[in-house]
Amino acid sequence: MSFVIECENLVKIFRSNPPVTALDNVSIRVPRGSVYGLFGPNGAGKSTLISVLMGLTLPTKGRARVLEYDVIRDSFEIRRRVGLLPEGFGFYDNMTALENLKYFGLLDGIPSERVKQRAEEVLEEVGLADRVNAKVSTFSRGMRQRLGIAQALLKNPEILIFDEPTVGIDPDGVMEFRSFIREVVKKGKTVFLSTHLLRDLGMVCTHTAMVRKGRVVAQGSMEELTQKMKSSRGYSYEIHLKPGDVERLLQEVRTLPGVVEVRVEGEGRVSVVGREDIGKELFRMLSRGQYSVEAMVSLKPEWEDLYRFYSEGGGL
Amino acid sequence: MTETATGKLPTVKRTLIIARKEFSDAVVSKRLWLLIAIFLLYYMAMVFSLSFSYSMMPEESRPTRITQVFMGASSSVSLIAPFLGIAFGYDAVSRERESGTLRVLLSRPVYREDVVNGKIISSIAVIGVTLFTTTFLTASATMFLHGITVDLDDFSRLTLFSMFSLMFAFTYFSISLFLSTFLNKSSHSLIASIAIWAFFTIIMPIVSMMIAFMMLGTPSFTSFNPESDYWKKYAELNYMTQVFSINYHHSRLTGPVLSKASKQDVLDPFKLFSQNPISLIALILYPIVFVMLSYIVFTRREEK
Repeated sequence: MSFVIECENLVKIFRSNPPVTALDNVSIRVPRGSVYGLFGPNGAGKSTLISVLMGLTLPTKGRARVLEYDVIRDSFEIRRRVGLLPEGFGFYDNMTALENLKYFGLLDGIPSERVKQRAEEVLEEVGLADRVNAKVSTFSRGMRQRLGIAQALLKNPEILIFDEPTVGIDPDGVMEFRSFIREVVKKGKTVFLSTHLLRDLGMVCTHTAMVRKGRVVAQGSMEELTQKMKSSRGYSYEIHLKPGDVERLLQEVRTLPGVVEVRVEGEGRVSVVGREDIGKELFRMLSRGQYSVEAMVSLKPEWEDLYRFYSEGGGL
Repeated sequence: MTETATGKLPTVKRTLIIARKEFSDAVVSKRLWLLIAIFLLYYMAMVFSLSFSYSMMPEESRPTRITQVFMGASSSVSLIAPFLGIAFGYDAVSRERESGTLRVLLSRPVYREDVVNGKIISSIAVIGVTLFTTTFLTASATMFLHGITVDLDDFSRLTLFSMFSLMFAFTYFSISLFLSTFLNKSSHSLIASIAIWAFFTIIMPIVSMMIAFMMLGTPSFTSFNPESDYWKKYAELNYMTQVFSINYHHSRLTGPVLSKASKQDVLDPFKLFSQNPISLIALILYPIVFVMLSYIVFTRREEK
């Protein structure tokens, strides 16, 4: 597996009074072609990491490479190959969408005879083909967001970095953004995004790093993180059955080896947590005991559960 | 390492792309046209009030007609030039920071020096075109109305005056540019720029005058003679106290350029420079220092 972004013990301390450690020994590796989500609350250091990767801020210590280019020595080359949608980005409101993109496109190094065509292509890609000559000042927030994506796509980058891309976007916009990411990845690009809204983007990420107070508290694929959490916290199941059978089931389940917790969640709903995966044993028990079972569900942790688990030190 | 579809631009080209965009923005900006309108109104008011005051003077002590026209241009340009500089400098970087365009701009393959250089080139062009055209147009119109014939010396004087005024405006531009890179908010940068202008234009001359009066005593205005010992000492003290004032150096250079004693009086620029080397150096050095400071602050600043 090749990696397009590699950080090794990255430290960033802002020399304020008192000094603020925004990044504390951050080490991550972003596989090529992945959708890598950087999750964490506001102030966790996500935007600082992105600034370091783009060469907008110098790291205090450590090493980082993007597409094999060093972030300190070769940041210019990185900016030629990476498209960024920064947090709190803006456009020249007095100019049209096309004028804005032509300006940025020229700076990206797109030849002047091709820049208009390229700008129109990306505007079409983000669904703004009918707003090409409209002044940006007339754009809604959602349209600005699309224009932001368009400017990041201009240089046809290998990596797209999105910093909090769904903040202030309506649910339709979030869904559109998710499908856009899927399309982009199909074209062989790598997407690196930061967000504090796990629910919005969690489902599109193939890999994640969870950040808290400048430190990476967990990283890996969703499956790896879930597996790790399960083996530490246990495997959860929920059984839906006739309310009259609940008491009998509670008594029998408690006798199963490996069960650590049995709880009534509501009328006819029992949750069972096992130290190991007790799914098969539970299923056999329910078949033998002639319970009126409506469903047996293996509970997968939500992103919020994962984040809570790892940020509380669960991964350590 | 893979190649992207984009090419690598030379520094000059990147700078010119930025400069071209900034120039187009400036030409259509309301602030430029507002300043030109203020300049024209102020110029007309100055010409009118100066002609009125000269008409009250005895004929033999009146300045020549061309000097009267020049004085009108001089006082208007001296007022408007710093504001032209401030108008294009105070938010040059901070506005981009506030609106979020700076991060988009800096995420492209450009160096921060390119951004500063682009803004400097466009501002020099806009300020230069504005100062030269307004000075020449207004002065020519006034001379035409007064029936004054212009010779090469008059033309040279106006050109030199416009050049000094461009340097003067650029000095204020560089100070505001520095403040704009240094401060987060354009409003703070504007206030600081105007405070600096007020310090050099209003406070420093008053302080200088007060110091001179305290040291030399009150002058006798009934027998005003600039060649007297009192006024020579006054001028020396004034020079010492205002040696850091850019306005003072600008007026020291433009004063002799625009006062033409007679038709035969021909301006010798080399004599002017040799008599006021410090003033010329100040007009060159001030902007260099502030532009350098802008580079240093902007390139080292953490754009989070």
